[in-house]
Amino acid sequence: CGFHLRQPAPIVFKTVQLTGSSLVMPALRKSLTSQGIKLVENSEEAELRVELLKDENEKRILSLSGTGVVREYELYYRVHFRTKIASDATWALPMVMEARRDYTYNDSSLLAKQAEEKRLTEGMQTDVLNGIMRRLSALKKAE
Amino acid sequence: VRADEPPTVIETPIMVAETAVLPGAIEIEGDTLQLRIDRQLRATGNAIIRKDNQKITGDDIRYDMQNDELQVDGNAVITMGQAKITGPMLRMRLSESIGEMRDVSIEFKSAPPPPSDQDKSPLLSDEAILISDPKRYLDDSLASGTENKQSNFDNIRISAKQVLFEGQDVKRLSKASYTSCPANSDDWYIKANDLELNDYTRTGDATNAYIQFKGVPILYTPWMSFSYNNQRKSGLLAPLMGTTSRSGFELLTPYYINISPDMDATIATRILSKRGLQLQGEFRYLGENYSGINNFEYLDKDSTTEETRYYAKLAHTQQFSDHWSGGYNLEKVSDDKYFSEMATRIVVTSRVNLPQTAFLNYHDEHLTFNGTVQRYQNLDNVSFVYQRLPQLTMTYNNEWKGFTTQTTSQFVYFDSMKEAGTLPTGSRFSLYPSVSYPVNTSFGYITPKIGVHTIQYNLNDNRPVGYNNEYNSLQRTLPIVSLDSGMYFDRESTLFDTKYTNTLEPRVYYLYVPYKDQSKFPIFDTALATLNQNSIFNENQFNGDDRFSNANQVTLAMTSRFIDSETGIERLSTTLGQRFYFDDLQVSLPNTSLNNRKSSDILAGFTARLSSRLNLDTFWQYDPDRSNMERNNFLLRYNPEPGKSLNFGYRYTANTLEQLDVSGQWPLGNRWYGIGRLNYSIRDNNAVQSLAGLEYDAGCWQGRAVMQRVQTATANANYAMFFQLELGGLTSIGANPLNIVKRNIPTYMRTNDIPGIYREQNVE
Repeated sequence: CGFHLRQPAPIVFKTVQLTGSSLVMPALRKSLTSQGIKLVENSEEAELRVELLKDENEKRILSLSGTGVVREYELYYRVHFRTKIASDATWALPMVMEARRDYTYNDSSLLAKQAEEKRLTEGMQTDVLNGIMRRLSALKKAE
Repeated sequence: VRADEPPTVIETPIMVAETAVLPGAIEIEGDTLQLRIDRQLRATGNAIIRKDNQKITGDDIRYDMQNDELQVDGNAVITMGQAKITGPMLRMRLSESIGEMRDVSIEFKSAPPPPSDQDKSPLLSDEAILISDPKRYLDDSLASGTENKQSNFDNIRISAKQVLFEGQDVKRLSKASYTSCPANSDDWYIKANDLELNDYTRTGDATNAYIQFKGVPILYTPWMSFSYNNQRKSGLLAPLMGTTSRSGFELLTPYYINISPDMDATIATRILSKRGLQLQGEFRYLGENYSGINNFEYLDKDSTTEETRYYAKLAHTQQFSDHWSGGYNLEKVSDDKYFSEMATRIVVTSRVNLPQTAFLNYHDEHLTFNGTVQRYQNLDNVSFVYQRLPQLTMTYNNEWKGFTTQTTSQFVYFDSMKEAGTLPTGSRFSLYPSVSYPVNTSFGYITPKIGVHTIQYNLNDNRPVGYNNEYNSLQRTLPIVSLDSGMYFDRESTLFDTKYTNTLEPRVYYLYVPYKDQSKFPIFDTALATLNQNSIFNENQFNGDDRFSNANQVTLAMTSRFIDSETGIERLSTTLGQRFYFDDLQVSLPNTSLNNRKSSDILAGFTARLSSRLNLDTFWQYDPDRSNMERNNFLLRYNPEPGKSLNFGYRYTANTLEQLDVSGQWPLGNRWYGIGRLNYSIRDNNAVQSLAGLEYDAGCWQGRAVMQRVQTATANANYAMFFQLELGGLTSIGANPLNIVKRNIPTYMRTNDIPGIYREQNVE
C-alpha cells in the first residue's frame, strides 16, 4: 500500500538560535541537540533563528449540566513562534501551534481533576513540540 | 495690484516648484506677490505660505518678517501631514506656531500609531487570532494592512468656535464638536466647552463635555480623555446598559486608567436598580519577573438582602531567580449566592469552589520542587474539597548511559473543611522511583520501564465504608513494569493538488501492576481519569495517589495523519485505541462497582484542520461488550473570515449528558451582524444557556443588543438583556465589557476589530 519505514528527515539547518520563552523550550532544545544541531547564542552564526513568542493556555467550559454545573472542560495550549532563515531578509509571519483536550469534570473531585488537567497539559506540550519540529523539518534552505 | 502699495513691489506671478522646503525656511507664492524688503511678504489670490511640513493657503496672506506675524484673511487653510484646518481667518506667530483661528473646522485621518513598546504590551493580548495556516494569515494581514491606510472608517472631524495654537503639537479648542463619522454623517458628536488636542500623543482632553447621539445628548461628563488613534489611553470605556431578572435595570460605566506601559487599572460603577450601587475595580501589572491581577467588587448595602456584598481576587506570580518562582491566588466572595445573583457570565455563575492558594516552585535541569498551601471557599455546600496544608512535591530526573531515571515524591497533609462534617484527615507520603531505557530511531521506539511506588498514610478518623474500626496507619508498595513501543510508516500522497505525507503509527503498550487491597484507604484527591487517547496509556487509571489500579494489560493504538509536505502542518489525524486486560480489574473507588471485562471501551477520534477556516473534532467511545455507545462528541468550527463563524457541537455521555451547542456570528447585510448561542440539554429537555444578539456597524459607531438566559449553579435561572454603544475611536483599548459574548461564542470578533475589507462587504 506504499507505506515504508520512516526515513530520517533531519532539519537541514546545522546551527539554530533559540530565543524567547515557552514551556516547551527545554524539550525543544533537547529535540534539536539530539539531531546533532548546534544551538548558538549569536544570531549571526545561526542558519535558522526560532523565536518562541508566547504560550497561551485556555480553559473553556465545554458542557454544563441542566442545572448550570460544569460537566466537561476543554483545554487549549498554544505556542506562538516565528522563524527566520539566515538567507531571508525578514522574519516569516508568526505561526501558532495548537493542541486541544477535553475532560469530564465534577466539583467534588476537584483535586483529582486538577491533576488530570496538569497531565493533559503535559500531553499537549508534547503534541505542540512535535508540531514545531515538523514545521522546522519542512523549512528549506534557499536554493 | 493695489494702488496704495509702496513702489518697491515686484508684481509678477511667481511659480514655486513643489519641492521640499529647507528646514526653517519660509516660502510664499500666489497670483500676486508683494515684497517689502525685510519687512513684509504679501500674497493674494491662491496664496500659499510654506514652512517645514506646514502649508497655509488663503485669499490674502500677509507675513510680517520683523515681528514673525502671519495674517491670513479669507479661506484660511492649514495643512499639516494628515490634518487640515479651515477657517475664515488666521493669525499666527509662524516660528513658534502660536496663534488663533476662529470658526474652524478640522479634518484628519488617524495615522497608524507610532511604533512603541507600549503597543506590544502583553496586557493587550486578550485577542488571540489562530493562525494555523500561514498562507491565509498572509492574505488577511495584507488585506487589513492596506485597508488601514485607505479606510473611510477613521476620519476625524472637529468644528470649533475658536482654536488657539499653542506650539507645534497642541491645539486648544473652545465650543468644539468632535466626531469620527464621515463628512455626510452626523450620527454622534462630543460637544465640549474646551477641547485640547495633542498631536504628539494623539490624544484629546475635553472638559464640560457631553456626548450627543442622533441629536440626543446621552452622557455628560465634566472631563473626558480619549485617544484618537485607538491607543491604550486612560478614558471612558463603552458603558453597558441592561436589565436582569435578579438585579433589575443596570448600568455599568467603566473607566480605564493607563498608569504606565506595564500597569493599568479599570474602575467601574455599576448601578443595579434592585440592589444599589456596586463599585468594581481591576488592577493589572506586569514586569519582567512578575505579573499580577487584582479584582474587587463591593456593594455596601444590597437593598434586597440588606447585606454588604463583595468579591475579591488577588493573584500574583513572581520569578525570584532562574530557578525559584512563586505566587498566590486568593479569591473570596461574601456569600454563596453572590455569583448567581450578581453575574451573568456562565464561567462565573458555574463556580462552586474558589481557590485560596499560595505556591513556591523550584526548577532546574534535573530537579523540580513545588510547595502549595491551598483551601477552597465552597459555595454549594455539597462539593467540599480537602485543604492541602501543605502539599510538597519533588521530582528528580537524570540520564546515565542511555538510562533515564525519574523519582517523584510527595508529602501532603489533608485537612477537611469544618462544614463537611467528620472526614478522615492526615498526612500521606508517596515515593516513586523508576528507571527506563528508551531506544529511539527514525522509524520507531521501544521503552522498557520499571519502578516501585510506595505510599504511607498517617490518619485521624479514618473509618472506611464497610469497616467498623478506624484504620489510621496504612501502607502500600507496588512494583510497576511497562514496555512502550511504537513504529512510524510514511507514504507520499496527493489530495486536492496538495502533497501530503500520510503516516501510519501503531503503538503497543504493555503494563503490569500487581493487585493490592486499597479499600481501607481514604479518598483525598483521587478520581477515575476520563478515558481518552492520552489516558489510555496511563500507568494508573486513577488521577491521584489514593488508588493504584492493578494491571496486566496491553494497550493497542493506531494513529494516521496527513501532514502537508510543504509546511509541515498536520491537516488530518485519526486514531483508534483499545486496552485488553489479562487479569480482572480489582481496584475501585468506594460505592462503585467493578465489572470483569476483558477489554476496555474502544476509542476512536478524527480531527481535521482544513486551514484555519474549518476545524472538526470528533470522538467516540464504544463499549463492545454491551454494544453501547458510551461517549460521542462532535465539534465543528467554521470560521471563513473574521466576523463570520459558525460552531456546532454535539456531546453525549451515557447516563450523564446529551447536549447540542450551536453558536455563531454572521454578517446579515446592511451593516447588521447576528450573534447567537444555544446550549440545549436533550437529557434535561431545557436550554442550559441561550443568547441572541444583534450588532449594527455604522462605521463610526457600533450598537449591540444581547439577550441571554443562564442556568446558574446556586440559584434559579437568570435572564439578562444588555445594550451597548461604542463610538469609534473613543473607547480605549483595555478591559472589555463584552466578555459575555466572547465567552459564549468561541470565535466571536468585535465588529470594530474586524478588518475593514470584511466590514465593507457587509455594508451593502
